[in-house]
Amino acid sequence: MEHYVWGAPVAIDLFTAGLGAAIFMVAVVANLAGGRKYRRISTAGALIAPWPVILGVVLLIIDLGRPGRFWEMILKRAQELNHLESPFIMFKIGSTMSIGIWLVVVFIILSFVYLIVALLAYPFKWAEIFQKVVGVVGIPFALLVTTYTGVLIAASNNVIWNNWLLPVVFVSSAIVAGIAAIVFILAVLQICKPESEIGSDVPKLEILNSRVIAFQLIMVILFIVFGIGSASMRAIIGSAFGLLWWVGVIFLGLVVPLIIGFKGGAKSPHTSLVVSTMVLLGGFYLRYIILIGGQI
Amino acid sequence: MTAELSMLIDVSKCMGCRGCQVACKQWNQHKAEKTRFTGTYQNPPQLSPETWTLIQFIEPVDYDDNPRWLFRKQQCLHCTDAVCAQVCPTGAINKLENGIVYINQGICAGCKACVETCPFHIPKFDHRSGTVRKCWLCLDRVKNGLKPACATACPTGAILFGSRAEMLRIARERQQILANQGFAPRIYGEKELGGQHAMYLLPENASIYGLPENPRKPTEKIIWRWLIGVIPGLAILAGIGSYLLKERSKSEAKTGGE
Repeated sequence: MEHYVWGAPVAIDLFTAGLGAAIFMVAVVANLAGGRKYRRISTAGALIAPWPVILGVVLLIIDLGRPGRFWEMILKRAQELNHLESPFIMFKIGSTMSIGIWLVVVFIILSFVYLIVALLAYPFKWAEIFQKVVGVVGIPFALLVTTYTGVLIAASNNVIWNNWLLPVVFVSSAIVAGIAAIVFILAVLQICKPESEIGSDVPKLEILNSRVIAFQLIMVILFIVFGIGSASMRAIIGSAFGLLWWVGVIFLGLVVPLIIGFKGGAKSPHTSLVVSTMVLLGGFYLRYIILIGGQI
Repeated sequence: MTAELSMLIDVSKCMGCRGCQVACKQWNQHKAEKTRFTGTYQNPPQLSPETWTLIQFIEPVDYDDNPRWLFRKQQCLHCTDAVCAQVCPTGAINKLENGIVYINQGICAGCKACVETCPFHIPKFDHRSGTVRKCWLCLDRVKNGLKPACATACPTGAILFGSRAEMLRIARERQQILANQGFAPRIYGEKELGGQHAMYLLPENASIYGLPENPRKPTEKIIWRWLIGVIPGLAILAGIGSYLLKERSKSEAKTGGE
């Protein structure tokens, strides 16, 4: 059994942290752009946004060599060999991981506040303004959490990760996955309640997502072109991972939903469910292959 | 203020006896590693949590097909601009006043950020302790006025230890001597990454010895990496917003508003 320095738990974290933050951003933008008209999108998004990020944090802690020392990243303590003045908060601006931890902490708090006000805004009109305010405050943190997943591994000594396009690949992929997650939830609810109109925004979201996917696809191709000089990149796209990469990530996860979106969206919620699942899996495997493949 | 200390590894004097490797293992009480013969005397094949220093055996072939045998002692170079200490989110890695970069084993949470960032691939994650470990330049010996174990054991004077100024003086002398012998020697670590506290005197190119000619911190220009994520992200969000607005006004035109 080969040991990777950063293995599957980190790959899942890179995916879920970006996913949750992206769901939040899509929900907020839908709320700002459409208010009650898009409240199915914004409420579904608000309900699911915090959980993937929390899962990611849990996995990151599990991945530590000493999970019990997680608090060392949060609180400072008096140290024999460390002449740091502040005794309280452990925060280092030079450490991407330290920045990321705090971004995630703030995001989780804000996304819970957003969840509450979004639920309140359903029956109470006065809560709508709070929903918008919390959403606008949360967007920068959500966007930085999404970017953080890319910057963390891009600023490394690893030739695959150290690619200038990695942050934009991760951010665009996260937003694609975020839209797909909302489609997934709305499609599930539509299937559960066939007589309702809960899934009426799904084709709109699929059309929208195909535009973002087109952008992501270009970025992924440029990412490969930029990195093709390295042997590890050729190993990724030419090895056992290659099949998963080309079929799973590129074809099923990007090209198929791209075509469906450009054709006006899926015809039934069942198709939407399958396609959004493929997008989500593709988003995960994109990170998994880059993370693990980069260490071979 | 403690004087800055440094190690000087005079590669031209190394004969590959690996006494330093053994001394390091003995002093730091590291176990031997089971390895397999891979066609080189370099053994163990790479640094590990239990192997903090290692003689790298390099066998380049000359223009007239003569193989050469070069040795370089791999170890932590204790950079002044130590990126491992900068990226450590717990503050376990500290750069001491004497220049030694030290991982506090009581604080390290094993996040492996340093492992992924060190431009020389020095820190190694230890699955048994759950922490990251690397050469500490025998801080316990140095604090008590002794030289690091490897420097004490070296029989040829290839590993020297003392004040950084003194080591630089010796390095320049040796550089002159080697230059007179027809080499193009380089003092590696004099300026690299803010100046290192384990410097090499290399008779020729750094890349022959498996060192980056111009080592850089991976976190350099990190603000651009953030911007390359944030700016397209904002653009995508703006695109999503404008699409949703357009769809909304389309449907409102159809139904005559809400």
